[in-house]
Amino acid sequence: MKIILFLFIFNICFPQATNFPLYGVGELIGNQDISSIGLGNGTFYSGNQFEISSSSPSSLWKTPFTRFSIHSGMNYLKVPTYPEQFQHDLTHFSVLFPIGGHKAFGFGLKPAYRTNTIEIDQSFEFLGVNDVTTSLPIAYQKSFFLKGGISDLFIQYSFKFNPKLSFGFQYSFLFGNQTVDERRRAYEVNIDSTQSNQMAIYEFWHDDDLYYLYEEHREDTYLKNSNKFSGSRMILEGKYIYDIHEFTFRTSIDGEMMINRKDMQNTSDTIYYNYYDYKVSDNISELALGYHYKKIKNLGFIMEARINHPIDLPEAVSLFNKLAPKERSFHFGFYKRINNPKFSLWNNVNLRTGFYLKELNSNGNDFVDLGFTLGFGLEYLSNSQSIDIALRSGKRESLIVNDKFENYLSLHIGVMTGEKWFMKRRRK
Amino acid sequence: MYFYLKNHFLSVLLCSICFFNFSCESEPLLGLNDLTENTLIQKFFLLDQSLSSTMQGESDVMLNSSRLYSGILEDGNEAIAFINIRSDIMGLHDICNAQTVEELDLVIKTITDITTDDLSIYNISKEFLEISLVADLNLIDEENDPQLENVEGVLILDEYLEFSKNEIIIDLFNHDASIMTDICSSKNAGIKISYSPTDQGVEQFIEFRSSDVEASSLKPLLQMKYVMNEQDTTYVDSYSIIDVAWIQSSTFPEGIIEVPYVIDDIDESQWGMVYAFDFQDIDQIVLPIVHNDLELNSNIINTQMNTPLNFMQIDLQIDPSISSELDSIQFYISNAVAFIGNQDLMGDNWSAVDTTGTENNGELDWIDGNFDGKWNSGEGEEWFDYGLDNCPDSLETGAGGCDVSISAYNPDGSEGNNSLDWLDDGDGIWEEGEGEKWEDIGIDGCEDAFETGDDENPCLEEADSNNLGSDPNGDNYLLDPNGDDWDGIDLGLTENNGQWDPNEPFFDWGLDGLPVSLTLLEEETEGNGQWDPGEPYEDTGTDGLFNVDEPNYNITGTENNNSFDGLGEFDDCGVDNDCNDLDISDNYVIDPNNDNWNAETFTGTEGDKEHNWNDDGDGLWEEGEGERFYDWGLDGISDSQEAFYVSQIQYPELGENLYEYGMENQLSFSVQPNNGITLWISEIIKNGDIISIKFGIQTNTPLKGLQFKLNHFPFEQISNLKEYESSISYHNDNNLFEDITFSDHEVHEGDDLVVNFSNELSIDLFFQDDDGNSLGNFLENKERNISHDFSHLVLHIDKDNSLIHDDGMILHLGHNKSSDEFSLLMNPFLVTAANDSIIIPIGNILRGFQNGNHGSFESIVIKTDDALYNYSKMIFFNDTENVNHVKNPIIRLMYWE
Repeated sequence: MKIILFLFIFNICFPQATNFPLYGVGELIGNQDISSIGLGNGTFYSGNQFEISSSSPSSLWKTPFTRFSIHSGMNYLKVPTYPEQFQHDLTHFSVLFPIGGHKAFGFGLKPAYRTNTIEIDQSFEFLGVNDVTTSLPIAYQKSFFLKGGISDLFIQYSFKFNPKLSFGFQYSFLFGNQTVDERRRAYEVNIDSTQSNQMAIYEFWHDDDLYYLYEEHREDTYLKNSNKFSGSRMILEGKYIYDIHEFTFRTSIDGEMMINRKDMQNTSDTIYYNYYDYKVSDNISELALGYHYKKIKNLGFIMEARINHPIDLPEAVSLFNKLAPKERSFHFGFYKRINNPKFSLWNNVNLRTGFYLKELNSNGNDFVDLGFTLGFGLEYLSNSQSIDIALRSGKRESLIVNDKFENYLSLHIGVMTGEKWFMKRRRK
Repeated sequence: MYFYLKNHFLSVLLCSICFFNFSCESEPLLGLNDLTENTLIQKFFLLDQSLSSTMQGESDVMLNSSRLYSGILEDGNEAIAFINIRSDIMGLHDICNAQTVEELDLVIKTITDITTDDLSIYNISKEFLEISLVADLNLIDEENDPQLENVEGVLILDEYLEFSKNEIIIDLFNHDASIMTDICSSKNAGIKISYSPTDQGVEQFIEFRSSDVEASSLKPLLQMKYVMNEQDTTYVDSYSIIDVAWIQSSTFPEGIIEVPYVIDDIDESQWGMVYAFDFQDIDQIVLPIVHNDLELNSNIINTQMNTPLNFMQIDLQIDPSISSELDSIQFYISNAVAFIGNQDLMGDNWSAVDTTGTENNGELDWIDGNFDGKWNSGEGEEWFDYGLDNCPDSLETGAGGCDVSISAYNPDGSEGNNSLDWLDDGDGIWEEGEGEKWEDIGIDGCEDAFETGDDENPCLEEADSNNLGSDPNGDNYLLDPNGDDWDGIDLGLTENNGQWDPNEPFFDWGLDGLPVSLTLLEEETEGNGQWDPGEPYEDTGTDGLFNVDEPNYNITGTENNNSFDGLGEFDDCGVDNDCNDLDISDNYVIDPNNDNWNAETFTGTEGDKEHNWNDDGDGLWEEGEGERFYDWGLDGISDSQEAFYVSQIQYPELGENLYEYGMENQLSFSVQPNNGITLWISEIIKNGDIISIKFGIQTNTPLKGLQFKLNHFPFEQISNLKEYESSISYHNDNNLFEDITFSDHEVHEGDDLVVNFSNELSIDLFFQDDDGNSLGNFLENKERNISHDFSHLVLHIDKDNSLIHDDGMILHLGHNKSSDEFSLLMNPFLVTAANDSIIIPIGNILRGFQNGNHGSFESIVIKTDDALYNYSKMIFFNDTENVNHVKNPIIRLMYWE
């Protein structure tokens, strides 16, 4: 068990952003329920036998078991002219207990905002002798290494109010660290058209001649900016069922967030630290509406609309001083359950597909994120266990690289196991 | 399977985790320069003329200088040094209660070299140095008294002054014995040192170490010798040793033996040590005695076993200074060791019975353990690889003979030694009187006029006029063939002059010095066909060629390279430079008999690593039989030396070993000998001041000899006078001296930025940018990351008006804290008179202010200290009329915004 906990804690801290989230605290990770991802990257609906989505608190009361869920994902990102990025790790862990009739309580951990572990080596920039204090031109180059984000440790409570109405609450502790290591190298350079024994730091062509930049003197500066986040989030969700129609409403309220920032500057081995404290006031971070149409028992259609407001971070805390975008999204999904008519190990296979359209607004500019999803699920052992796989492919206008699209493809795998713990059993 | 899935779901989870937990390394993203607007920016802060100034401190600074001055200073002012011996401190010293004072010297250390190392030449005009004793001088009260220079004292005569290179010793007590009365009765004793040389060829002023110098060894000292009325106990040896001899009797010695030896030098630690042996030659004994070096004859006791023998007598003379008080002496014996005298103690002698013995077997028994071809200790019988003449090179006569002292051998000869014997005076050129001559003509052995250009026959017998101006053998050392290297004098020499000159190649890239290919921004001056400031250029000189590209450049040439390059450049005629002389005294001779082994011709026997011995058949090495060896066996020890082997020594029984002698005329002692060896004092006889001590011995084995030490308890002498000697600069933790230099104190006026120690001048520099915003305001923004290496405080020295000593000045850069206390911001640094400007990397200092470590920034203060010449004056250029003058103090910052 210790090994599992170690692996779990070790892995959950890693990111799973789909793109270059070089703003805010990183990308809003949102739903990580594999079955919902397969349904157009939605949140509220799953298309499985019990119609439970771990990301929808108002659906959780339906569980007849104690459920353990663990999800993992892999993301492949390709932006033209940039190296391909590959990320993968655990993305979600939760435990859900039925507590009495039509009530459930759960807890879990998942990423809330993440930037992937990204290394950036910027190109050389140059300053002429008329712009510097030295007698030689200066060439400088910056490199960044980013990691971390905010994690979400949550508790959930779900209950059925009456046959048509159910509610769910989720309270999250938002916590985490984000660091940006920056290395700045400034070189006094000599430019020469002849190659010498000294290694050139840069080469360039000019008038059909190859020139070499040789380092005369170099100064390295290391900066390490660390932000420690501590906040909370409350999700309120209601579900109304009328015949074959199911409506879900949701709002999220972010509590006050404390940010402790530590800046380290190291120039010529002289190190200074600066400390700053920031406070972000509470606000409504999410409004969402979902609709589920069950045409027949094993076939359905879902539709969701969502607005997400970013955490109102100060610029100084945001990655590269860029604020996170406001997000509006629409999700459409279809599912089909194929039941096994025989009494067998497996009970049903769930097929899902969908698409989504997301609009991100950053500094008045809109960026579109369009994606397509496919999902596959297998429920077995009297529907107490399941394995879900979702594939998400999308194309998004890059907020970072002008006029480029970020093409991403992510594969998500989730395992759910149910146990009849804490349930009253009749003794013979 | 069902069971497994049902009951081991955790295992499933674990497998899932492991399965998906791959590495997630991705390639770095290259580019993305638009992510931040953070860039490197240059910013200048000019001197705020309204706030910056020269500050002058309190005038008591000279009291705290580690240096004193006397003479005519570099600025022409006169300085007088005063050193006061404080009576309030000295009055508490024991010397003031002394019975007699024998010596009171003041020792003053100087920085100026008063004399040469050998004290033969004075570097000062000693006749113009006046050192006076001033009674009741109080420097603290009179420091500002302009009349101080007129204070008169009593001139101390030359006979009471002793000069060495960096020290002056003033014999105060013999100059005026009443000084003791003064300094012991609240009257300071002042020393006035004035120096007014008229000769410009000598030191114009003398720098002394003051009592404020940190190193205690450099402070002025009072050397004192005095006698106190106190009881003093000293211990005196009661006698001296005058003779040692055998006691002749019918039983001892058994034959003729040489006299024993005693160490009679009372200053030797082994005084009283007796060596009772039959020495072959007692005159060759040298201290300290090493047993292996002793050459002995026979045993001292061979047959008289178990018989008490009075065998030796030592004569002592009582110290006449204590003879009247001396009433007894207690003797005892120590360090007694007896050496067994049997033949062949090691059992290695060859005999017809024991043919395995190696001693005296008529053969060399040598095992070359380390294969070096030479005998080494522990390798058996010693032999000498001196060749068939059995003579080391150093003693060879040159005629095949061997001498007892060096005759023909001359390893120091300079003629024919294949080595240049040249003592250069430092200019790198041979001159008359510098020893063996050499000429800088190159390894070809001839100068250009005689060169042929032919490698096999490079030199002509006679000069060829066609060679004029050429170098046929191509051996001339030439670093600047076109002769255009900048020398700082001739403005026509332009290579490496640090500026662009016409015809020098340059890159026409504009004022920024960068091509458009890099910056993507073409400047107006880029490609304009002319050199503009900032454009890179090659400082080749107007010939457009660096030295290495100039024709005939030759860095490996040996002719005219001002360096001796070995054979070819000298004739090896010795320091007399005469190869045809008949004087053999300078010939290099290391093998006069010419018998050294030659590995090329395989001739010679000396050093051939083989034992060359031509025995005449008797098995004994004899003169004329080649290389000598000692047939002592594999132990390498002769029979007579075997006695000294540790396993063969015995420690004699000494009995009670305490002999109380009450100065009787005759006193006998008896000891009951044991069964081994017993040694004792048998009798003491007094004859006037001579005491004869006889020693008895009984042994059960023949003795090669023995050694022991005769000891006594010294005489305790009590006196009522005690002599003290001490050298002090402090007493009871109080400085014994106060000292100052009296010279003109200048009050600073004007806008000059001056740093000077003697007048305590420092500068306070405030800076502001073009918009009038102070540097302090700029530093309040912690987000600005200031470069250290590329941010500088630049100060230009006004060399025309500054007066900086050759040793330079040590500057302290700091700031005044809110309490006005000066605080250093970096290590002090040296600035010399050769410096035109000071460029100080200041980024980290400013970052310290930026981050609050140094408090808030107001200004930078620069001051100097007393560690070097105190009267140096550094003036920084500052044009108050033109605040933008290029030489005004400025802080040039590079920072990341």
